[in-house]
Amino acid sequence: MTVLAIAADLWRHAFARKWFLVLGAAVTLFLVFVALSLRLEVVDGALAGMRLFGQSTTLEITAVDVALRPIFKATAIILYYPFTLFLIALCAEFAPSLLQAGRIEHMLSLPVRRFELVLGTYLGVVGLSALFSLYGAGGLCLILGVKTGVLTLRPVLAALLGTTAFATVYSGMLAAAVLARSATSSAGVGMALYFAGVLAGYRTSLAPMMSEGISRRVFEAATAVLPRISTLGNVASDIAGGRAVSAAHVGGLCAGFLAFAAAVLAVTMWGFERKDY
Amino acid sequence: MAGPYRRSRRWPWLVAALVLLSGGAWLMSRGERMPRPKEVQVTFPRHMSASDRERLRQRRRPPILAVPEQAEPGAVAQPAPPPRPRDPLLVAMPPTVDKVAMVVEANAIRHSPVGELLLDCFVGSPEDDELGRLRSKTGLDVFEDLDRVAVTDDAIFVSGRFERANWTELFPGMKEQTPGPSTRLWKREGKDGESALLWNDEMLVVSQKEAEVRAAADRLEGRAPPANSAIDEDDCYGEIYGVVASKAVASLFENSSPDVAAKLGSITEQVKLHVDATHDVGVVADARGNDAASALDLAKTLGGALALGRAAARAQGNDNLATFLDYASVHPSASGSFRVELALPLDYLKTLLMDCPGRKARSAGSK
Repeated sequence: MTVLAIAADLWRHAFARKWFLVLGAAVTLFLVFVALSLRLEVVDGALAGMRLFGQSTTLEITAVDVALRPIFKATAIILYYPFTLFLIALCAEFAPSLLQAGRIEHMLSLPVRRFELVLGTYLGVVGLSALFSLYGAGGLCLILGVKTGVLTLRPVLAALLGTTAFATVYSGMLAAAVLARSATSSAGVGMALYFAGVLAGYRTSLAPMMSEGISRRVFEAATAVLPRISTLGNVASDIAGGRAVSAAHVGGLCAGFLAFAAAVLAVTMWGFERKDY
Repeated sequence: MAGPYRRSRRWPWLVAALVLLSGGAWLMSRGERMPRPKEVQVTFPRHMSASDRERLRQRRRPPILAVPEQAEPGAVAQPAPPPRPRDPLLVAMPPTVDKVAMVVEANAIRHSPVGELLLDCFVGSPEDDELGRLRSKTGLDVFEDLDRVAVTDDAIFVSGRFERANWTELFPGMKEQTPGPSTRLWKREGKDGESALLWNDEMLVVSQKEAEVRAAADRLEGRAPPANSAIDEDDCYGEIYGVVASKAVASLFENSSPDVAAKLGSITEQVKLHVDATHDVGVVADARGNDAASALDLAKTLGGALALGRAAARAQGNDNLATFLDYASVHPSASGSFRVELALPLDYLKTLLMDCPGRKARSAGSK
C-alpha cells in the first residue's frame, strides 16, 4: 500500500507539471488529427478507399483489417521507438527532482522504507508511461474501429510491450538518479541503455561480423544481459501487424526484461541503502 | 544508521541483482531465438519482364510457308513485307475462343518450388512408377520433354521435344494420314473426328474435332491468312497465362455469390490471367469493364466478397483459406479496368497437400 501511495503522490506531482500536460495534449491532438483527416470507405468489410486531407492514398481494395495492418504496425513502431525515446528525455529530470535535498529527507522521515520509496517512484513513472501509451494506442484503435467496424486491440498489446521496454530502461535511469542525483546522468544512462538494447537485439547477427577472440566474447557477454529492445520492438510490430507470434517466447522475453529491471532496482537499493540523508 | 547494520542489510541486494541478471539473461536468450514465420515471396506478374521477353524472342520462328498472293492481271506486284517471326504455339492456336485459351509453362513449373511440391504429391512411390513405364513404352519423358501445354475450347497444344516419341504407342488405333510439308496427322478410325497433329517434331495438337486439328495445320503451314492468336504475344508472361471468358469465371461464383457472378458476366467479357510460380504463387487477373463506373462498382463488390469470404473463413476456423485470402486484393483503375491479385504461399499449399496420394503411397510403402 505504501508503494502505491508513493506512486500516487508521484502522479500528483506529475500532473502539476506542465510537460505531462503537454504530452497528454500532443497525444490528444494526434488522435483528433487522425479522426478528422482520415476518411475511409468500407464496402462489405473491404477497404475501397482511404483519403487523407481529401487525397486518395490507396488504389487497392482489400479486407479492411489487412489494409489497416501497415497503419497498426506504424503505430506500434511509433509507440515503441520514438515514444519511448521521448519518455526517456521527458522523465530524466523527474526522479532526481523527487530525490532532491529536502524532499528526500522529508520522505524518509515518514514511515516509509527505502525500497518502498524506490519502488513507488519506479512504478509511478512506469505507470504514467503506460497510461499515455495506452491512451494513444487505445484512442487510435477506437477511432479506426468506429470508422471501419474493425475493432482490434493488437496496437494496445504493442503499446504494452513498449511500456515494458521503457520500464526496463527506466530502471537504469532511476539507478543513475539515485546514485548520481543528476538529470543528465539519468538521461545519459537511459539513452545508452536504450541504444545498447537495440544493438543487443541484433547480437546474434552482429557477433559473427566481429573477429573471433576476446572482443567478440566481451561483446557477447555484455549484450547477453542487456534487454533486447529491438527484438521486442519486432514482436510489437508483428503483433500489431497481425502476424502470429509465439506466446511462450514473448512471455520469456518480457520476463527477461522484468528480471533485468528488477536486478537494476536491486543494485539501486544497494546504493540507496549506503546513502546518508 | 550504524555502519555494521547497513553492511549486513546491503549485500542481499547485490546477490538478488546477480541472480536476477543471470535469470534475465537466460530468459532473453531463449526469447531472442523466436521462430518467425517465413516471409511470403510473391511476384505478381503484372507485366512482361525482361526474361519473359527474351523467352518469347527465342521461341519466335519465321513462317514455314507464305500464302501465295494472287496478283491481278496487269497490276504491278508490290513487294510483300517480310513475314513477322512468331511463336508457333500462338500461331497454331485459334484466333478466337468462346471459353478459354490458356498456356501452362509445364517445364518451368516442373522446375519451380511448386512443381517440386506437386511432383512430391502426385507421383507415386518408386515401385509404382507409372510415368517411368510410360517413358519406356512411348519414349516420352513428360518431366523433361514437355515444354508448354496450351488448352483452348476444342484442342490441346503441347510443345516440346518429340523426336524419340513412339507414336504407334501414343496413338493406338489411330491411322496416320498423308503428311504435310512439316506435319504428320493421325485420325481415329471408326470414330468421328478425334485427331492429332505433329508439327516439326516440336508441337503436338490433339482434338476431338478433326477440323480444329486441320485448321491448326493450315495456320502453321501458312495456308490460312495470318491472324492474331487468342492470346496476344504481349500477354505471354508468367508460368500460366491466357484468357478466360467472363461467363466461365462467373459460373464459379454462381452458388456462393450470385450477385458477383451476374455482375461479372454482364460487365466484362474476358479475363486475362497470369500466374507466377517462381517462389510462392502469385495470381493476377485483369478485366476490362464496359464502362468505368460499372467496373469500379464490380471491383468494390469483388473486394467486398473476398473480405467477407476471409472473415467467414476465419470465423469458421478455416485458417488455411483465411491465410490465402489475406493476400487477396482488387486494384481498380480510372480507365474502367481492374485487377484482382491473389497469392498462394508455398506453406499454405504444403498444408493443403499434406495428405496427397503420392505421400500416402510412399508412407504406406515405407511401413
